Amino acid sequence: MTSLLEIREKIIELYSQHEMVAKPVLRFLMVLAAMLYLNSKIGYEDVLTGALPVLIVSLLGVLVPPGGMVVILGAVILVHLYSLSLEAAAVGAVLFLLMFLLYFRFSPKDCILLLLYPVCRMCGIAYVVPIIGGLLFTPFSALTSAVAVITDSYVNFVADNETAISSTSEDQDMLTRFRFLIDGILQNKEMLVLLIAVVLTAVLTYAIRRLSVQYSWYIAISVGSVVQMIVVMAGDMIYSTNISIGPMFLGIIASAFIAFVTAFFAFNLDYSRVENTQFQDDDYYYYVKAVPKMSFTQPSRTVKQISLSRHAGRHRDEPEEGDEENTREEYGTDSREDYSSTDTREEGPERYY
Amino acid sequence: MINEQRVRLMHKMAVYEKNGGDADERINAYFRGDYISSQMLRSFITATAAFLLLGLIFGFYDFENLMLAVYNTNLTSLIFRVGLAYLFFLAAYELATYLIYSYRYQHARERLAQYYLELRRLSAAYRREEEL
Repeated sequence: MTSLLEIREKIIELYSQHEMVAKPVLRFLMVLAAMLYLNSKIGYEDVLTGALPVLIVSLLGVLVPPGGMVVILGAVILVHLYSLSLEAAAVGAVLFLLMFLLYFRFSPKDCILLLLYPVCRMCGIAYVVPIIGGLLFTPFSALTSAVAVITDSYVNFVADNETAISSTSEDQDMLTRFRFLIDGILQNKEMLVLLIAVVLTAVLTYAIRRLSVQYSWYIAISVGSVVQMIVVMAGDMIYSTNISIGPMFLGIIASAFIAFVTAFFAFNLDYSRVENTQFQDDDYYYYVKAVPKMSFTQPSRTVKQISLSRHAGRHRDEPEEGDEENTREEYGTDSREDYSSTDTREEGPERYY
Repeated sequence: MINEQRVRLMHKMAVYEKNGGDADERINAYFRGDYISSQMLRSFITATAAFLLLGLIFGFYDFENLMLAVYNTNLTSLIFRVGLAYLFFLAAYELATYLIYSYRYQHARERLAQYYLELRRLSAAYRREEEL
């Protein structure tokens, strides 16, 4: 366990040092994965499937906040659907408009979950999204997960039935195709089962995570995963959905593992909050970079010099820490101190960037 | 000479200003009742638009049965049922809006109260320095 904590500290330290680069790169990769997923499923519009448009949209993911990126990806979906058939695009547009009017009007802060969903879906671990939502956000992440499930189900339905939807034969008029598409949403039992599963999981995970009991985060993940598995299996038995139990089982186990890793990094530690601020008073301009202190103290290493010297075993105290706000400020000067001049020394949790 | 305690305080305040402080100030520009009722008015518009959209889709989806219902049943009764459904939908949505925005208003005020407390502390720190 101690070595795990040490690894965690090293990863957090690395992330803190390279946050300015890591964050945009991660966002770029997330949007890139979402675009590749959409193109693999409903890549009907050639203009959007080329390498250059995919790269441009992915780069937009770096600049545009998650809420705006959701809108852009929604537009990408509609363009693809329009290339297939007008009816598919119209039903998609109504679906998105309803979601916008009823849910995004509350400007939720967990839009990142919607961008994560395609990546997780590609890897077969979509079950992790409601658990992460319940762990890191509010119970409203249940609705965000539900929106992701509905959109994904519609995209998959169109991809699976593209021949029927794009057919322009006489016996399939516009109204029939509309009905077929709306039935694809309303009669989709698999979607219904997944909806119940993600909503229950997110709400339960959030509720248990907030309990003041020991290991509440880990209990929340376990309960959330088990509930998700039970609901999906029960739904499969009742509605005879086509959910494959084997991949679902593996997916939930992998999701639980990822959620445990997330909890391990996120619990009690706001590691991503390396804050850069600028302000001024009458005398100075301040450019402050505050790095959260690490919660784990690395084991002290004592170098013992075995000799007849009278000074052997001398220790030097660790520097004192003012921990009023659990942050360290730098004022443009490096306050690094060198303790290496002594034979015997202790290494504390101090880190300077 | 830089006062480290004061820099800590100023940094904490700057972080708050950067991450949501502006939004809280905008909320605080309203009285509680005004803020919640303006949000409920917006919700009324979006809920009505969403209900109309749903009605349009349902009408298009089940056009024949809808026409049959219009001819075979009492039109007043149909309008009454649709109106009732709209009222229930609107009431549920408005209730959710009220709860969400009451919570947001209360928490924005709490965060701002803390911010103003820190502002007073900062001001006192400057005054002390001037007196010395």
